[in-house]
Amino acid sequence: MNEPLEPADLDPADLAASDALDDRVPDDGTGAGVDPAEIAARVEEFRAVRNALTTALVAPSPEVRDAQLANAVAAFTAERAGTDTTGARVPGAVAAPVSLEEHRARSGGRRSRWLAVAAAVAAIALAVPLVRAAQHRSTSTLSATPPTEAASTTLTLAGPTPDGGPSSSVSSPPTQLSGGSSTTVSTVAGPVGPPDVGSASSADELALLVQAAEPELLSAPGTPTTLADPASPTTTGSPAPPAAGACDASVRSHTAGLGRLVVATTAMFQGARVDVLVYEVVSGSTTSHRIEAVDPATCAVIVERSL
Amino acid sequence: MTDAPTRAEPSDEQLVTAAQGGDRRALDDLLRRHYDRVYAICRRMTGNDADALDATQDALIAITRGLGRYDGRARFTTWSYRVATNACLDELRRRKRRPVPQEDTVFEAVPSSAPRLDQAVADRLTIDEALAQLPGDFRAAVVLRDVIGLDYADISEVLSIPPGTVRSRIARGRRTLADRIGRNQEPPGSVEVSAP
Repeated sequence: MNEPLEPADLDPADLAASDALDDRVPDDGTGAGVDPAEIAARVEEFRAVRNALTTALVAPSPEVRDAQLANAVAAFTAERAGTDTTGARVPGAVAAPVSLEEHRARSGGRRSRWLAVAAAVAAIALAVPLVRAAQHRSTSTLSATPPTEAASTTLTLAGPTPDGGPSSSVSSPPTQLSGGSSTTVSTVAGPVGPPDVGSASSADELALLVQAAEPELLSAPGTPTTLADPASPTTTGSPAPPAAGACDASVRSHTAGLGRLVVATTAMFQGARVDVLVYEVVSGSTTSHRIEAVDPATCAVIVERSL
Repeated sequence: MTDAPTRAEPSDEQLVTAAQGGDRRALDDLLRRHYDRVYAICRRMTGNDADALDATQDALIAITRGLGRYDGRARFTTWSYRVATNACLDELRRRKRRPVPQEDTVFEAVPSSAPRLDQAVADRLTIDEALAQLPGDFRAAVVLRDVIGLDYADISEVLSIPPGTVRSRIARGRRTLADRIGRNQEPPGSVEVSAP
């Protein structure tokens, strides 16, 4: 990101156009000497800005949203119980406001806290299909797994505004913004295939979901996992469907230094289905992991990220 | 009399009162109702998903911790957006002190076979880059108006600045964004983005 610059100087035509976009009638004669056509053109420019701001907003996955809400409610409960979120006693702290900086100082790593909650929620959400998959394997049943369902989120913003402000009913793939004030979570049917780890809107979220599904990768960074050889890409302790690892060779040609393929699965990323491959990366005596998310149709790499 | 009111969705104020009395379910409902808007503020203010999630979490916790002193003089939405905006501005200040990662969050534009995702990523980069060029207080004014739909009086209250200043910041912010977005309309190629 670039450093902020000094914003544009205030131009009467811009002020008039901005007022017009917001249906404001200035009482100071702003824009009186400006060509109406010029103002109209600038209104359209500003409208395009507004549209750009309200499209392409991707909501966090339901798992992340729920984890964040649970964390906030837990903080509230701890506060009322007279303890902070780390369990330390806070004298007279019943419903007392605590500054953000104070909260951070007490609670330490902010991101790790809610990520851990999110990981736990995601792990629980994934537990049932994983157990079911394991049961399928243990009985050597060859029947097809039911289609998995991947959650997709609709970010709902800007309901009716008291001043007739912008209606955020703009939609653009893969996100839809619609009027109203409630949160809508819908599900879309995914194709038959390997189990999804879930739906992510960012590389961070994707990594979180993979780590939740494959906790060994979380618990022992630097320790080689005991999974199958690269010729047979596997999820933890189970054979991965070949389709998810079909882009292995293509990924290796794209990114040098990748070691053993230890996980091959799928996910929804920004509304599109992707194959997710996790590789070991050995550097000296340390072994780390790297996620490569690829378009299953073209094997083009969409996300690369260290775990 | 009908029993219709008993079926109506509780107002923010009713949920606040219940939450202040210790009702966790009411608090969860209240936060869930406003989560998307709080996240939208944070996403546009911070310019990336990871910082937005951090700021959103901070905002939610600050709201729950500050609920005890919320006295209802301002609407809950106005008050909560002020908390969220301050959480985002805090996040921006913190970010200036953080080292920039060199490796993570690398997006590579997908070839022509996947134009939808390619364009979506490119659009986000353009908007985020343009917003990043606005100082935080200008960014907040534009986001609260164009993303959240607050009126000028509410923005004035949220940002604690006079309405006239809100007006000029929105106009200048929009001009800067229009210039920047217009300049970035070339077809995207391979783009690498480091998390700020």
